[in-house]
Amino acid sequence: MHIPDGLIAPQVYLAATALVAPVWALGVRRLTRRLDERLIPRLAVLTALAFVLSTIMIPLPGGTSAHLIGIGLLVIACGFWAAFLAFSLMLLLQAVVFGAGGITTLPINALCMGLVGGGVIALGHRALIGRLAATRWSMLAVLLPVWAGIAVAATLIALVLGIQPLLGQDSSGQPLYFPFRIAVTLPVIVMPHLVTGAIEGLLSAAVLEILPARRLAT
Amino acid sequence: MSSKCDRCLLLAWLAAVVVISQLHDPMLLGVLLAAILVLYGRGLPGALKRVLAAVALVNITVSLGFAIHAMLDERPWLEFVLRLNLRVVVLTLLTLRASQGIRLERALDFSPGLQFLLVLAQGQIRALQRLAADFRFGFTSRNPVPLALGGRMQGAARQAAALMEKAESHAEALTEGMQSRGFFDDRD
Amino acid sequence: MIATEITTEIALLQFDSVAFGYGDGRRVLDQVSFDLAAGERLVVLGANGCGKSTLLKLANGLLFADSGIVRYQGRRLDRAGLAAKDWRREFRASVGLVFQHPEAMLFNPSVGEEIAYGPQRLGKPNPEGLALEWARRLGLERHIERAPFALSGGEKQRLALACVLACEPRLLLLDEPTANLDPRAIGWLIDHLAGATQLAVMTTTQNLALAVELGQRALVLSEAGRILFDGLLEVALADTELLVEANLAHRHLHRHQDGTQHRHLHSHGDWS
Repeated sequence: MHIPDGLIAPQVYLAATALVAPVWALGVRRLTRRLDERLIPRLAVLTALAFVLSTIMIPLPGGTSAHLIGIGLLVIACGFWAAFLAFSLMLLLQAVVFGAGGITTLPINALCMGLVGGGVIALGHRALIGRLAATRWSMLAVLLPVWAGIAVAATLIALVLGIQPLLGQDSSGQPLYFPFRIAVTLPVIVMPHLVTGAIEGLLSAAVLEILPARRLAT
Repeated sequence: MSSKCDRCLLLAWLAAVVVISQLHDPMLLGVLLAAILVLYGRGLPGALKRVLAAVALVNITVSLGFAIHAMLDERPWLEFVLRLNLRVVVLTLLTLRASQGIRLERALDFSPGLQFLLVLAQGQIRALQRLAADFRFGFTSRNPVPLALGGRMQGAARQAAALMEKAESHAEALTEGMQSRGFFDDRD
Repeated sequence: MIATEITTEIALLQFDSVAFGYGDGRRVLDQVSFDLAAGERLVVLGANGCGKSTLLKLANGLLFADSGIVRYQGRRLDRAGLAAKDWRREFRASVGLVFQHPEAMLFNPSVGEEIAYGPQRLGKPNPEGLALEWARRLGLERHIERAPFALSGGEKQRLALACVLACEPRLLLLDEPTANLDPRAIGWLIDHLAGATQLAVMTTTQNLALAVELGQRALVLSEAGRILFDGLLEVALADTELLVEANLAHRHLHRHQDGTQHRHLHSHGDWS
């Protein structure tokens, strides 16, 4: 989710960086063990894929559209750790190379959407695919985990935003950072993501149906 | 510019982001914005347009929402609205300027693997972006009448699938290309 | 009785009944056998999908034959053979492949570093100076600090050439080298190869006009990946039935105003 820099307190994004950095290191170690230096070209392409997938517009009812997040497709097609690292690198490139900003929200997006959201998708898919693969409900093994992953990630982001008013006010009582509390951020952020998450889940299922061979899997 | 320069710039920019995100005085933020505008250099009008396009929706929504709520409660709101908007614009403009000056792969060249990764990723982004653009043009040209939701969904799905297939062949080609030049030899 | 000394020179590259498929059940190359001598110039002709690029990748040790043997300087080019680190290093220095899509082989932060990469790995003295020299030869000196991904298609192709030539290989493999090159660059390439008489070159192309500039010997592949012809290029180009069978030329119906019609031979590039 693109949140401009300046809305989140340094205590939060620096703490998020401290939390996510060891997970990045763990991801690199795990993937390098499996792929050695051949990880480099594969991860580069996955990062580019994550970047360009996020430019695809998914259609919403009413003629509007929203950006695809792509984390569901990446996790299921390529594996959790590769998807997590590629998603994080994509955020870094967006902020620093393409000047789109979001450097302070990078660790938060990486944690919430990449790690937790991606983790929910990976675990959910693993739990369901065995049961549903050979049935006519096989698309649920993609739709449900993707929807759940995006919903959980959106909830976490809503919580992060919602605690900002607690992190300081000026002398006149006006907030220093994002001003709305959890009671506002939860419905405002989570509700739309329940819709977009479901549609992204449907789209991910449709894509993976067209792409049976998972040669990008790591 | 040497890697050391890029690294210093990167660190300076990151430090500036942390410092600025702790500035709350609208006056100070206003002076900072003025300084950035003066010192920005070439491309300022385009940069401003880009920054405003990127932050307008969120900033206007948050500012209006807060202001209306505060006005109804008869609480002050101006300082917050100024603080929020000035700080966001300052940081976004600074980041845009920094991105034009810093070569990230040089700044991070203490890790050769990371450097190669960043160089390759940037090249692949351009390649896949071209494909995505071609696909969108192709889809538009073959659908002169706007499609219903189902049709648009299928279009988006096929676009994503085409990108993923291309990514697969790119990954294989890149691995072969690097192997051909002996990149993996010293480690095998 | 006079003892006769028989000397047999080992071919630089040998393909012996090589077959290869990509695992989807389709044979891309079948029963391919030929030798390439040191300094020889071989042009591989064939339509799209006939296995030309695959042939080069087999010769570069990137792919391994399903059956048959590929040898370089008498040594088997297979997984076991390339497992020996020292020989693998020597092989990679000696054989250079310029990919049809040069993005596949460019991964350094700048043009200068890209060209210097190979010589540096091989321990050549002054790799930066060498890089600058090759950049100048290929008209890339003003791009020396630029990132390879920021170059145009033709510039990337020239850069890929520079990267491989800077390593001074014994065998140069060129995959459709002129796909993105402008006439000046093509002229440079032809002149350079004409001057590098010690260099063996295997080029794949569909462009028959270019073929006559790049080699005297031709290997013509069928669409099924089999060798239809191995011999003098000029003989191959004069054999219109061969060219049609290999889908390198076609006859389209030509109608005259008086109502008569005949099939007119056409191909990519006018080699006549």
